[in-house]
Amino acid sequence: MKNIAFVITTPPNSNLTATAINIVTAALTMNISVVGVFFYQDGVLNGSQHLALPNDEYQAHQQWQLLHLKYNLPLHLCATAAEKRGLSDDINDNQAKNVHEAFTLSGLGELVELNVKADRLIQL
Amino acid sequence: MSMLHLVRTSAFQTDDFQQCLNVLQPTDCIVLLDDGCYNLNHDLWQEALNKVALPALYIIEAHAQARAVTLDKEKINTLSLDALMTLICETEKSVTWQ
Amino acid sequence: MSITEKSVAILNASPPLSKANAKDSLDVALIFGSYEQAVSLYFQGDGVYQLIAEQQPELIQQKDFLKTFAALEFYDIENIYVCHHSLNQRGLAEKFSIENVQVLNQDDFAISLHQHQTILRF
Repeated sequence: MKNIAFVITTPPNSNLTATAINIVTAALTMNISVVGVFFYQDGVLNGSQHLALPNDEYQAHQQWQLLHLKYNLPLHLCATAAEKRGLSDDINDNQAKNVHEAFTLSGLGELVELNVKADRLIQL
Repeated sequence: MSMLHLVRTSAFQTDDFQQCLNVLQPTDCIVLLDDGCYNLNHDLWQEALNKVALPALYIIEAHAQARAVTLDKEKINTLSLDALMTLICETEKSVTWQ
Repeated sequence: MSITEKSVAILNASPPLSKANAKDSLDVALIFGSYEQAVSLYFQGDGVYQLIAEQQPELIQQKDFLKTFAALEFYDIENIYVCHHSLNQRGLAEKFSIENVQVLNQDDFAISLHQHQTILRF
């Protein structure tokens, strides 16, 4: 069985992200081991706690959160990309903290680690 | 050596698909997904057919249907996302054109 | 599989200044390099503009991150390939901001890219 890691660069309001979520979900339901998802560039916006999409639109961020809950899927936000986009996980400052708890801020080194752990790194 | 090309943009809008074709090798596979589905009706699709065999050319069926892209068995094979995951596991490497 | 057996190709397809893709891509290259991973850089399409000499990004409020290309060798990133066809299409001479760039014809560029296990494109 292969280990797969994903790099996601598209924001939650892009339909490309819905595709990515469907592909990751397909892998998980097929019992393919997903060692982690690394969010880079605008992809980090998927980890924002304060996204308010209209109820009748696809809730990409909630889908990631569900995958994390159901499959214990590691969700890493690139820390530098997150900071550039106003995202913070500072637990000492409740006012500033706006990253959802399902996501972890990680250095770019995490991407290297995922690439080493995985047989295949898929960019979406 | 064989590489899976995930094509996510329309050649009517960007140069991504042309660049994909420029590095395409005879043992590679192409999957059209997202707006990449529109490439099925681009002149460049013939170049894809000339470079790799029909069994190595795929389109995500739901993505094509969502865009009212008419499917032609002479030009492409359909794939579900589950089947795409299987294909990803079977090929050695992938590159995403987006 | 040991760390060093898996080689990474970073395929650069974006022009350098308007979007952050080129800078983000370079950051990824440098991090793979600093973890002593085998990483090669490929430049195709508008990506070839990234390496062209005598650009002045500071004139348009852009930090001159292109200078960082000169640091690649300190990260042991020595395989830098440019698609000749892409240069040709854009009427560009092989006048790069760094040395050690290898210009490959389309077939050699394609074959070289296929040597890697992981490919990221920006």
